[in-house]
Amino acid sequence: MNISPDERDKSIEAILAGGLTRPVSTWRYLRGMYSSLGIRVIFWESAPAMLLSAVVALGYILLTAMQSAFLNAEENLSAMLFLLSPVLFISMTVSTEAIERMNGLYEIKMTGKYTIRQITAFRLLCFSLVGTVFAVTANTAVYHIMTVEMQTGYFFQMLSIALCSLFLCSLLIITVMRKFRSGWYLGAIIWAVAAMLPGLIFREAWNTFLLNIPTAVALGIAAVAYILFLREIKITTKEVYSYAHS
Amino acid sequence: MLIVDNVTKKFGNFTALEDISLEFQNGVYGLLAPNGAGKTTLIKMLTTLIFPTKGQILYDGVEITQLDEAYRDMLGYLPQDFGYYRNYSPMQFLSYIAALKGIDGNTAKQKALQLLEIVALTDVKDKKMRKFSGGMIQRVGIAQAMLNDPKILILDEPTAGLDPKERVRFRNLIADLAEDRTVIFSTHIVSDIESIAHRVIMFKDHKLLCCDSPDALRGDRFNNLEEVFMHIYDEDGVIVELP
Repeated sequence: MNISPDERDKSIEAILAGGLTRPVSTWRYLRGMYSSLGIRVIFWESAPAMLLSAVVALGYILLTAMQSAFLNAEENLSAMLFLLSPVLFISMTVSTEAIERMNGLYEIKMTGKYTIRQITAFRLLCFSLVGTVFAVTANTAVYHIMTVEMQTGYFFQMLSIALCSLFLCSLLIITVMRKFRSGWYLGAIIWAVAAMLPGLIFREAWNTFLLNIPTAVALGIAAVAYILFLREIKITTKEVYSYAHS
Repeated sequence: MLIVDNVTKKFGNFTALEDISLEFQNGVYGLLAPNGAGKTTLIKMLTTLIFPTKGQILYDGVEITQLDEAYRDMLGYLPQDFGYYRNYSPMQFLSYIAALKGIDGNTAKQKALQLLEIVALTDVKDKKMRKFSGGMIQRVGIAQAMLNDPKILILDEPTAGLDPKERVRFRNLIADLAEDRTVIFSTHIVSDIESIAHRVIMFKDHKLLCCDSPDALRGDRFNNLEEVFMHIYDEDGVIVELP
């Protein structure tokens, strides 16, 4: 290949410029994206997906509450809380992604200044925050309406388990989404199998196991999972090659 | 200048394109080959949707992955299957795409109005797109690709589904747009590019067959590019003889 002196100079300038420019931090980048696009564009056409997610989450709560009432198995609430926030997180992620993939604009949105992958990373961050708020709300609600006596320590134990499962789920989903083209639903399937199977197979034993996880351990796992999740967000917003192999 | 430098793209064991080298300057470049020849693969690499297995793509001497956002800022793209929001008007749709391209609201509005005039959709700028014909949708597609005044405009089979009158209109529009930018136009319909392409690119067995002007390809032997095409590819798109 013959490169003209002009092109060679431009190439050197670009390399130097790349080396000398102070890299923009992920949070500054995401803030910039938010102020440039605004919440309406970031969640464009996502209202039906959000509505569907709320219905799925409420349906899940009702189903578990009915099961607990009929079977008089209030102890199962720990297993329910373990799955609740991830159910909301997954339904929000899968439904918004499904809308994106089906509208035929995905390729155009990959060639914009802000690619749809970067926007999706921002959305996942928002979903994890919504999931956290939901976990706290659901735990508080259970704390107040449960008929069995519940101590404050138990509340924090349940909350730590809920956050632990939410952040592990978030980490799994974003990692699989980043690495595979079909990751947006593949991650959901893997999580559903991994999280529900122990409950279906071991039943009481699984519930007892969850109840016996020390709060500090659950919070520690949740913190590590969230840090790794944020790292994945950072990679997704920065990397160009991620979709090269998809 | 956009340079494709010894690029190979493989999907598993299948080689979609092998050792392709091309240089693009201002003007219309027609990618002319039967379906499945690798046109869309090349276009997806030029639009950073996929990346070469070997080789590199450079813009002004810098690899496009390194340019990242700066490269996408120069890019306008109309994919083969152009999706749109049926319940939005062209103005709303263009405002949304402009936001994704990082264009501020006021500039976006002005640019959208200007482009809708160019593509002759001013009268229906606030009408919902669900009632639009295929040609009108394609024109909205062209407008969205032009929002950031791209230096590289890439159109994948843009005339598919257009009626003859709309095709002529579309060709004229492309010719106008190519005055100060690179337009890469993929098609398997010869007449689409014969009159407007400065260079015609053809593939053979997933390798580059030629990149030449329509005049040079016709030479003295053929009356038009259609004859060249028919001479090169048989009904199944297999090369039978070189021009």
